Amino acid sequence: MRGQLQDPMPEEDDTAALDLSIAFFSAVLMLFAFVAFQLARTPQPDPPATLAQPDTARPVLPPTWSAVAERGSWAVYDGERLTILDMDAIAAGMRDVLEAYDGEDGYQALTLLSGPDPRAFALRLSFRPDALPAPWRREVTRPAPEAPCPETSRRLLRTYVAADVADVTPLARYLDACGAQFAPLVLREPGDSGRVSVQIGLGPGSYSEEAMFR
Amino acid sequence: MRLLVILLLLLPGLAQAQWMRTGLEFHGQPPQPDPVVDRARVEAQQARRCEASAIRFGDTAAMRGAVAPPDWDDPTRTSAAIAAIADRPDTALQALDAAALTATTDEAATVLEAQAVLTALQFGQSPTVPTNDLSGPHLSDRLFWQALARAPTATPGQWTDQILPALDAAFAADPTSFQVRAWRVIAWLEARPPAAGQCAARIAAFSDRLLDLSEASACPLMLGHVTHAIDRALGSRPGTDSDRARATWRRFGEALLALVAGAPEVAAHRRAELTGAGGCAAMMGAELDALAREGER
Repeated sequence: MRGQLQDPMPEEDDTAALDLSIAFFSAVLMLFAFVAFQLARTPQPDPPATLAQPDTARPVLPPTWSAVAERGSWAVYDGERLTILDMDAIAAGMRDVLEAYDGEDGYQALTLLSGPDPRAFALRLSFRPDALPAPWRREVTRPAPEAPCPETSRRLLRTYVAADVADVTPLARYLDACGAQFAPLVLREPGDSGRVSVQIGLGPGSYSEEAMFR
Repeated sequence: MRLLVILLLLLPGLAQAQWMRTGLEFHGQPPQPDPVVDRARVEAQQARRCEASAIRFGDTAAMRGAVAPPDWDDPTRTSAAIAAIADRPDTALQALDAAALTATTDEAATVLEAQAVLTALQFGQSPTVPTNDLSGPHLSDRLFWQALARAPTATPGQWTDQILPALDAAFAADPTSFQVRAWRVIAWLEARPPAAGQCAARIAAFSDRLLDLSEASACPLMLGHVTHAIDRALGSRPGTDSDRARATWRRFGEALLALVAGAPEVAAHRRAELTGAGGCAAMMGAELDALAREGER
């Protein structure tokens, strides 16, 4: 009688505890499996294929990718006419002030900038986009699909475009057909005199700032 | 006896391996290969990133400030300005010739002569580029222009035998010139890296040139700009390069620059493209993996 009382656990209780522990262990295993699936990272999207621009854009601005910058011509477009500037005439005015054009329709002024760099200068040109001074006009064309190409300009054409010109597509197509590269420079609205001023030149340090890589 | 033979065979490898103890267990790690890409330079550039360096940008020694600004009088300055805006080569070169006649010092004359060479190149001409009695930054410019003048018609052999040595000499004459550093990479790729030679030596040589280039600035934007400029110079992207061997080197170059610039995803993309490429690609990949691991620490 005493021995029966000391029996710690009946046989069926022992089996139940074993079942419980197996069930618990399985549940933990299942939990691990789900947690493992949850931790699986979503695949990253493909990184961009390049550090740089993905494709070559149509060159609208002057090319700066070559080792040496390309010299171009200067022009003015008023919506109808493309005028190639006579830089030789303007250079003559730079060399001798008496030869510099000075009139109601335009003038030029060269300033040798003071500072540590003696190469710095600013050439100021003031003109009416629709009526340029005669000595500055080297060639005038009217851009159109069948119009003749400019004969005196270089391949690269830096073109001042009048402020009231809303669409330069005809000019871009015309120059493209002529094998020229078009670099538009938009002019401000003319002042009371009807003229607009632009500056061509180099400031101190502009070489190093402009030529980041050539 | 058999055990003894096996032990003797394994002994050299066991001796070279690095043994690490974890608790009561010893784990052998095979020795790492010697690094090929200069780790110290990579780390230094990764740390410095976008900070300014001593490397200068500009077409001529005077423009990039490698020599003292020339002491020009007003007529000389006017002539230089005319040469800068002219759109006809005769006008520009005559203005510079006139200015050179009145130059008062040798240095001023040298600067004007360099300007005349550059102007002729800008007009698409092929000027003679004298290097007599020049040294330092002025010599560097002339050697660079000589290399550029030969470039359009050069064969891979000429890139190797003439242009690459000229650019290396230009680099030695003025290590601060960025344009020379950039073209040393382009010229190495144009020379179509020879198949002969050890991969380690070739990877080390190419990576040195790349790290010379990124030393200017390890900014992502800057190096993206450089990569694009190289693509422009070669006329293709690595994926469209007709020369497969060169494409592999370009992918390695872009991956290395991306690692330096802190763009690991771009580096990983380029690294993945090296898999199975053949040639030295396996060693390139191992180097990139090692650099990426060290970058994560």
